[in-house]
Formats: sequence, C-alpha cells, structure tokens
Amino acid sequence: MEKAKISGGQLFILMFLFELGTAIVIGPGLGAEKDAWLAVLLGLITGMILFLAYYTLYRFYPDQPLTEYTKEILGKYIGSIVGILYLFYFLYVAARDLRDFGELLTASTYIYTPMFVINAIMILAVAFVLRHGIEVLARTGEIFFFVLMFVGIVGTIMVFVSGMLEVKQLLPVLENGWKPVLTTWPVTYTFPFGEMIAFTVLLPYLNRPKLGIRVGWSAMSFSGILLMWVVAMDIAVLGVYVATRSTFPLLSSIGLVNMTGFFQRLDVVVVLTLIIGGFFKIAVFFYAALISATEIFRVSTFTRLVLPFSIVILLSSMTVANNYAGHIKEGLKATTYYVSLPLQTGIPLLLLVIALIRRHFKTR
Amino acid sequence: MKHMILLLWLLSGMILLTACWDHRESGDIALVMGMGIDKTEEDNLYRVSFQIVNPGQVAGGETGQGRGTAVTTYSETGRTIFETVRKISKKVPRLLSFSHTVVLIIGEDLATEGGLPMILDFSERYYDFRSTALVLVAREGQALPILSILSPLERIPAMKIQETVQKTERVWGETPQRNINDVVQTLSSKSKGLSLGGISLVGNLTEGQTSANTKQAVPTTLVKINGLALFKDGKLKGWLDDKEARGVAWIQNKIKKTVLSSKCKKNDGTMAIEVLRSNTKIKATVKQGKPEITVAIRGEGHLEEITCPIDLTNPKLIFQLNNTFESQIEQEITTAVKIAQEQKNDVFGFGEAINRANPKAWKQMKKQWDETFADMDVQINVEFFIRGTGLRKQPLILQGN
Repeated sequence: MEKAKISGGQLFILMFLFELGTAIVIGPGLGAEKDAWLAVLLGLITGMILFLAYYTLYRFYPDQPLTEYTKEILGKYIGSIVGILYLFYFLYVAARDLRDFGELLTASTYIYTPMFVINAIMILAVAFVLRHGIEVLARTGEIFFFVLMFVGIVGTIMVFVSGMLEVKQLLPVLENGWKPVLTTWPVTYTFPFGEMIAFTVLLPYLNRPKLGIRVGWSAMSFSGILLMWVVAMDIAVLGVYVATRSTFPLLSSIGLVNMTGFFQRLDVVVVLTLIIGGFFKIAVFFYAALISATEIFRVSTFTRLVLPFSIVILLSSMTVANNYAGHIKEGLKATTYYVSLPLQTGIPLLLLVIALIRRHFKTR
Repeated sequence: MKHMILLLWLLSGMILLTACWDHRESGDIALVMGMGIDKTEEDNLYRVSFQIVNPGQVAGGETGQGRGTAVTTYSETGRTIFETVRKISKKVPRLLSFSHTVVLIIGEDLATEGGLPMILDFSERYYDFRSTALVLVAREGQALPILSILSPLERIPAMKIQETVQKTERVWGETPQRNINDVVQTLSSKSKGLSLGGISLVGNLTEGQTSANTKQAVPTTLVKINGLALFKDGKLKGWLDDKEARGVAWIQNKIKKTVLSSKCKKNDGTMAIEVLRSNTKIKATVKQGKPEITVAIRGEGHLEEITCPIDLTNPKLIFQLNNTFESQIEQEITTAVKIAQEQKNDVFGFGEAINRANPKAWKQMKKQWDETFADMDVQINVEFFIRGTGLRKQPLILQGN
C-alpha cells in the first residue's frame, strides 16, 4: 500500500469516470434492442447491491485491499492464490480496456495509425500519472471531470436543439417481452457496474471510511443514469436498427448533429470523451494490479512495478484478440460468464459469507 | 549534462508531438461535394461520379472572373464503390475526402435494379463519409450528368442541390429531405417502405457543362427537384408528383409550410393560402385482429391571395373557406393512400405505428403485412384554420362592384 489519502469527492470522481469509461461510447445493453436502457437499469440496481458486499468487506478490513484480506479470510495459501487470481484479472481487464480504446480510435479517427502506437502512447500517459501515486490520479480526475461534464452538456444540448430525438423510436417498451432484457442483464451488470471490484483496492485510501457506501452508490447511480440516457438517446436518434449495428453508436449519433449548418461535425467531442474515460478506466485497473502485486509479493514500492506492468498490459492488449469482432465476442461471452461473474460476484460473496461466519464465532 | 538531457527531451517532444500519424495536408486532399452512383449498361459495374471542388476557384470571391469552373466532376467504374474511390487516383492528383459530401445521387436504373442496401453499405461504414449527406434519385436518368451541370447563384452545384432541397421542403413541402441515416433507418424498419426526393436535368447536357451556363440570365440547362420516388424493400417502384407526393408528406408530418390553392365556388376566381403550421398524428388501433389507422391533421395558415368576391370580414365565410381547404388536404391524402395501397407499399410507416400501439397484434400480421396494408381502413381527420387575411381586409375584386 501507498501512504496516501483521497477525499470522498475525489473517489466519487474516479468512480464516475471509471464507470462511464469506454461503456459510454460502445453503448451498453444494446443486445436488448429498444429496451437497452432497462437492461442498464437492471445492471445498475444489481451492481449497487453488489457494491454493498464490497463495502461490508472493506469495513471489516479497512486498511487492506481485497488481495490482502483474502488471506485473512481464506488462510495464507488459498488466500494468496485468490489474490494472484485477482492480480491477473486486473491486468487482463486493463489490457482489454486498452484494446477497446485502441480499436475505437483506429476505427473512428486514426485510420492509418497502427494500433500499437496508439496503445503505447496511452499506456505511457497512464504509467506516468500512476508513478506519482493515487493522489495525483485523483487530482487529474478532478480536472477531467469538469471537462467531461462540459463536453457532455454541450453535446446533449446540441442533440436536443437540432431536433433529432424521436422518442417514439423507443416504443413499444418490452416489444419482445422480458427475455431479451434478462439475457442482456449479465452483460450490463458485469460491464461496467460489476467492475467496481477494482475499487476494493482503492477504498482503503479513503480519508473517511464511513463515506464509502455513499460515495460508491452516488457515483454508480449518477453514471448509471447517464449511461441509460446515452443509450436511449442513441436509439432515439439513430433508430434501433442503426444503433445496434453501429460499432460506436454515440459516435454515429453525435455525428448527425447539424445546427443551421454551423454547429456540426461534433465527432471530436465523442473522441475526447473516449480518451478521458478510457484513460481513467485503464488507470484504475492498472493501479489495482500494481497494489495487489506489491502486497502479495512484498515489493518495496509499487513504482518499481509500473514499467514491467505497462509492458505486460501493452503486449497483452495487442495479443488479446485477433480482430475487433473476436475482441467483442470474447468480451460479451467468455469474459462475462467465465471471468467477470465469478470474480466480481461469486468470490466476493463467498468471502463475505466466510468473513461473517468467522466474526460470528470470534465474538463468542 | 542535465541541460543536455533536457534539450534532448525538448527536441524529441518537438518531433513526437507535432501532428497525428495520419495527417493530411489540405493541398493533398480533394473535397468531394457530391457523389453519384450509376450502373453501367454493358458490364453491370458501378459507375461512381465525384464532384470535386477546385479550391482556387471558390476562394477569393471575384465572381465571374474565375479562370476555370468551381467544380470538376470525375467518374470511374468498378465492381464495388470503394474500389472506384481508390481507382480514381489514376485521374485525380489528390486524395478524395468525403467529410463534406452533401448529396448522394442514385441513378434510376440502379435504384430500380440494384437496390439501396447494396449502395449504402459503403457510405455508412466508411469512416470519412457522413450520414448527413442527402440522398436523391436521378429521375429518368443517371447521376453523372446531374452532377456535371454548373449552376448560377451557388458556385458549387452540389451545394445548390442541397440548398434547393432544403428550401423546397421548407416552403413547398412536396419532396422531403432525407439523409443517409434516415434512409437506412427506414430500410431496416418494420414496414420497409421508403420515399425519396427525385432530381432531374432540364435542358441540354453539354451546354450545362460549360461555365457559360452560369453567365446567362436565363440558364439553358438546370437541375431541378422533381417528384417523389417510392421504394419497396430498397428497390424503386414508382414515382409520385405534385399533390400525390404532398399527400405522402402530410401523412409523414413532413409539411412545414406549403401553398394550397383552390377555385372559388361561385365564379372563376381563385384563392391561395399558405399553410404556416401543421401537425400530423397517426393513431393505430387493432380491433378484432383488424388494424385501423387514424391520420389526424391540424393546421393553420394565412390567406395570401384571393380573386373571388367574398366578404372576408365575415367570420362565417372564413369558416366555409376552412372547409374547402380541409377537404382539399383530405383529398390529397386519400389519393396518396390509395396509390400506396395499390402498390402494396407502406411508405407511411403504418406498420411501425401498429407495432408501437400493439406489438402482439403486429407479430401476427407482419407476415402478410403487404395484403393487410392494401385493404386496411385509413380514417382521415383534417382540421384547418385560416387565421389571417394578410394586409388587406377585402379582396380587390369586391371593390370594383
């Protein structure tokens, strides 16, 4: 662990940027077609319940990250193995997010730039900030939060004013019953809400531990409502058929903005959103991996791991999939069911149950 | 030593941070303003034409002084559209950039045979192409000649076409503005019927291609918006004109302003009103498995011209005039519905309306939707109000008597 403290407001901003991250551009829950917003809502609610579990665990062990208290709950050996599992998970998701970022930029604006170059520059920026610790990351977040809010408000106003919103395109609600919503729900639940698991490593830095749940829930609901709004807007602007077929629905819908021939080509707004969100998403996972590794392997300071981990994340982001289709397929199918669900929900709940039982016997 | 390292950093920053990897200098790109797609007769390839701006001729503003034309149109053939975009480099010394393309014109032959889904995939997928470009169909002709006509008033003909479509939609209302996104949206919708504006060439082609065409008070050759093309499943099925076309626009709630004129009842005078506001609501109901659509229109406008001896200060007579125009609007809509039903082509999006109102019933009737649509009941309710009579209270003709 690093000797640092961040305030509730800073944690809120980090969580908020993290949740929006790449999800806002990809458009979560479009598997449920017109009811994408409902799928996001379901994911948000279950995600918030899950966060309560993370918070309870944090209050039991307020000075330790997830990868440390597994040892206290499960014993030294199993606990370490589970900790290492999480270390790999954090690295894997950081690599996936870096890939998302590179894919989006190469498909939308930097067509002829090799993805490796884009990813390398991004991971360099992330590594540079992380070397200075969590406090610097949190302060960077404060600046970019306002940039993102400004950009978001301007973009939303433009969409409204240029009269492209056709709310009737969202009707009828539940066109094909609950089934598509429920089958999409695991996807929206694990991405992005279940990914709050990364914050089990960051929570110990909070200066007032009691704030944890309030900060977490407000950040999740604020970003969740924004995601619902964005995905509903994508459908209302593009129509459900175009939105589900778009690689990046937000890019397509903002690209249509044309106000009196003067305010147009706002695509850059979306690219900016993506760069900001992607940066914080990668940074938080990267940092979670760094702290987990320093604790598990008793490394003197986490800064020594920044360079090697950057290289690992960069190289795995390039090798994680062959093409965009494969990358997305892996994300929606394999990662959701075999990686995210057990690691975000299964193991933490198990840990919580065992911790509760242990405490019960201890007090007696 | 420290200074040396700092200097090295600064220098490397200068090199690394200057620009994007794939930057393009403005001197290297050619802005494509209009794009046309036809099919060649002999070997069934696409013939794609690009109207490219000559930047030197547009800038500066010395109108009429230009040494050359404001635009140049090139065309190339290929099996796919993207192939022609690259192959054209054999003729054009610059790289094509589509980020400012404002119109996409499709030749009638291609629209009838090829179908829109084949053509629009590229424009939707390619990163540089914007879905805001308008789509038009070259009526009884090809896209290439239309894109090669020079025009007065607007130096860039593609912009002229775009402006014309926008203005005519705003004050005349017969042909709608539809961009690539609208077209794709309709193509993938439930009812799959689509209507697009038509465009055609009037006059002599070779004369229109020289800059002399822009220097005449009465241009010998021009391009005009002409009619409404009806598509079914992405293929052109027929054309509507004038009032029939406007009937479609009424139902689609695309009328912003328009002009209605009518004969007087008693003598041979005429009158014209301008519709200033109009709103269409489509309500779908399903009764015992039978769909029913109610089209409710509420509009208001001003009287702009009248040559009948009617006492306009009498509110009762104004109400009678309202009825005249209500029935005229109703007539236009009825005709449009009848034609669409005869063609079994749901261009109004009634299928979507039924799905919104009753998704279960829609699922049952979507398989035989063409037939259901063809003998469906369509109720039309029009309410129209003349609110004002302009700057004069009485017709001039009344004063003479």
